[in-house]
Amino acid sequence: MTASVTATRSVELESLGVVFVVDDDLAVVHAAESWNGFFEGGVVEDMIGQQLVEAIGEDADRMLRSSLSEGLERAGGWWPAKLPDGRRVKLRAYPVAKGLVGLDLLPVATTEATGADDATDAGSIERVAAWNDWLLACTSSLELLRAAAAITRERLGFDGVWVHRIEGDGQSVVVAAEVVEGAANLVGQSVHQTDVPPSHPRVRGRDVPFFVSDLGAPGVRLHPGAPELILEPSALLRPYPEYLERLASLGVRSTASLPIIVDGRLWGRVIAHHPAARRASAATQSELRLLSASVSARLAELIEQEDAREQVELARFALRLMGSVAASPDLIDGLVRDADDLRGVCAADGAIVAIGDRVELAGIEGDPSQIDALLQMGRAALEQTVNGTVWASVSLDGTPGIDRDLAAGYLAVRLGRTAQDIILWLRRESTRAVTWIEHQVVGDTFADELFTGVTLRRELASGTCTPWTSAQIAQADEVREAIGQVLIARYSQVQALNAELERSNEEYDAFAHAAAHDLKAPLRGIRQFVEFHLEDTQDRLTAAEQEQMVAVTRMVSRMHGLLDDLMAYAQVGKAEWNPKPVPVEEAVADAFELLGPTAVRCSVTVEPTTFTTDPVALRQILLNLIGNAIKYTDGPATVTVGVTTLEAAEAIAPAPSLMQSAAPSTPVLVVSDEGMGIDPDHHERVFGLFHQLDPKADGTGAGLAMCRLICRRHGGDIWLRSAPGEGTTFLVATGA
Amino acid sequence: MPADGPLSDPDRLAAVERLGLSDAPQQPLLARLNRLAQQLLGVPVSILSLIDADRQIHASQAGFTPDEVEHSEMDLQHSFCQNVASTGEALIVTDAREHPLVRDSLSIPDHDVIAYAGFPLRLDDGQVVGAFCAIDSQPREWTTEELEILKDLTELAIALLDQWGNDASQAAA
Repeated sequence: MTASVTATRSVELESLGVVFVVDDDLAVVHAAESWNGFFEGGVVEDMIGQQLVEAIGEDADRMLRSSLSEGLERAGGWWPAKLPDGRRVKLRAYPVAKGLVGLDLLPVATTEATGADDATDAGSIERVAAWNDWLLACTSSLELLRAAAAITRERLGFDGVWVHRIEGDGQSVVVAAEVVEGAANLVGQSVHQTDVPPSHPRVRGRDVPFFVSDLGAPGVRLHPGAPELILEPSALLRPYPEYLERLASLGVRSTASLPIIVDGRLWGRVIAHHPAARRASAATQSELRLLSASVSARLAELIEQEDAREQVELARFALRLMGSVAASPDLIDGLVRDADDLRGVCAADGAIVAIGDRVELAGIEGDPSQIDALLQMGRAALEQTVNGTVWASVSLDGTPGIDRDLAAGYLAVRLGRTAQDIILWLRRESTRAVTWIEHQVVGDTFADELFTGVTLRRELASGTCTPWTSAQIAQADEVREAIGQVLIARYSQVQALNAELERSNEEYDAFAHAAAHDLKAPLRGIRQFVEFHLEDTQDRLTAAEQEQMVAVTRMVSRMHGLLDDLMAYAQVGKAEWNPKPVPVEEAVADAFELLGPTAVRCSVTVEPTTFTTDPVALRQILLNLIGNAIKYTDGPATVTVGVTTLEAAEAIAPAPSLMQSAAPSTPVLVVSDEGMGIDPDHHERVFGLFHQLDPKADGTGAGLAMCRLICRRHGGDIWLRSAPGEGTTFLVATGA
Repeated sequence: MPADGPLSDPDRLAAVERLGLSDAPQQPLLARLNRLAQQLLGVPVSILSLIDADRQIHASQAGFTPDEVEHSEMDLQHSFCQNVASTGEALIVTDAREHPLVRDSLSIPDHDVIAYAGFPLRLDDGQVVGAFCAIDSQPREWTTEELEILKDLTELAIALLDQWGNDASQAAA
């Protein structure tokens, strides 16, 4: 069996009776010294090499032979047997090496002198069942451990029972105790595991229950010639002699230890001591081993429950924290708004939040160089973790120069894809009393020596913080996840708004197009009927009446023009967009062609360069801008067209906010005229739909609105610099 | 069909008979041990069985369905425990479907017995009357700790059976 241990000659065994080792033929290879007190006449030395039958009789010998004939793979249960002198015993056999069998012989009824209680009765089951009920009824781990101490002390009748919880750093803490009156129970004290009782080392590397009935008497030793044996991990092993010697020197005569195993790891131990030799019967040992298993199983459940409860408590802080994160447009502001909430998530003393270049502190103050060193440490730790989301430590990983009042341990979570953006929770150094129980024999009684005579030397443990619980780490990790979700939610919100905006733009375009198109049909009808009416009634109408009818046709024509422009405006978003480098001279020439006869009133200077945009859009923009220049210049207009960068354009006129994120090298078309200029009060209004500075001018006032729409639809904008009498310079970025 | 060999040993059958549990209802005290086994080992089923000449009697159990409780015995073709009773040795099975001794047992398809750990109930007179066992419906590597717990539970069961056997003998005498 893999769990077996190899016993060398230094190993001592513990038996309630006698231990032998026999060979295949049941000849005695070794018998322990306890033989001498057990069998009358004959001493161990005389037995070596003899047949076992001479000691245990025909009956037991026959039974052993039949059971061993098939070979022995592991320790079996107890076999009843009767010795030649009529005494009833139980035998247990276990394989110890090839061709060798170990035998443990146990008297069924024991004498008063040994103090053993061998009543293996039905009471055992009732007791174990009742204990189990008791343990199941416990609602907290502390209550459970106190029950375990009480049960153990009651069953063994020992003077003291302590329950130790193993701490991570080589120490254990006494968490519950049941001791004889007048004794110190040591609850709350930390004890060095490797140091002294009532803590103790493992038994040959394993956390098995063990019972030592008399430390004053030597354990069962193998005789000098015995080979190396492979032993079952049973209670037959004694713990390290050094440990037992220390106990003995404190006046302990009997001791027992029951491991508490949670999630496959040693959580702690129930340790019992007594100042007189006292045997725990095989039945009692069975009962207490089962108690140990019951306590372990129940403790695992309770710890899980307590973890869950703790997490609920922590979750309150997390909920409030995430509430302020959700309510704040800025993530980092939301996180540090209430320092108590951020700290409360994992019961930390303070926290550092670092996102991008911004670093904020919550609940702590620190020198920037120390804060920076802590951040570096947290980032480095996260980089090294496997899944990289959370890391907790009770120390600062050797980071130098940090004030202990600032931090002694940390818990870090990563917010971004890299460990650059993190939350680093900090805990200050913890101080606690560590008790060193020093060996110092001062009194006559056991209680004097072990319980009150020991010197309790206290020290302040330093350099670390209190450990982060699994619930705290889990909660910090949940906050990390929640922040991630908030960020994702915000991103989708922006996406949804964009989609909504696009949809309403499209709907508006469709409406405008449909309205304009549908209004034009009746308008055509009105004009026709007015024209018919004029022709038919020309002679009968007065001059004034005729003039009115002509005015109607004029207004109808104007309305027609407005609707045409509205349709064109609505089409802007639908037009295809094929940007490419367009020679500016060509685009100006195209626009001139469309301007028709009015173009003769204009001279244009064009910079020989290209402008990357959609050629159709460029032509339309130039058409409008040059058209305006002609319209608003008395006499022949002078226009200059060139291309510059956004950076240079800013020197002419500050760009609108939409251009803020554009690169300084973004090309900008510059169209200047020397016309009448525009009052700064009207600089924005000129871009409104159907807005005309001069009501008497031709056109509808849709031109600049359309230019702005074209630019904005493609990530650009149009703006201007102008003053009355100074001409106007339009700056155009269309996006590529 | 009565079994041959150790199972039909008259002394052994007498020891089983003497317990007076063959046709008795479930024993609550023993069933507590089965429930402990269930709880501490995390197994679905634990049985304390007595092996007769031709059947396995469930003196106590934990985890049976009501229908299985109703039929608190089975023929030996289904029985894993008979192997424990006949050899007097513990039987530890990780996956019954691959175990030479029991892979043909009808308990595998009929009762989902896949993993099995049973210790002999050896009474004071040396007779093995049955087995105390834990059963899982999935393959399972039994740990040393689990087997130690099962062994301790078996010891307690034996102590009780011994007491009952003695009481019965004294009453008869």
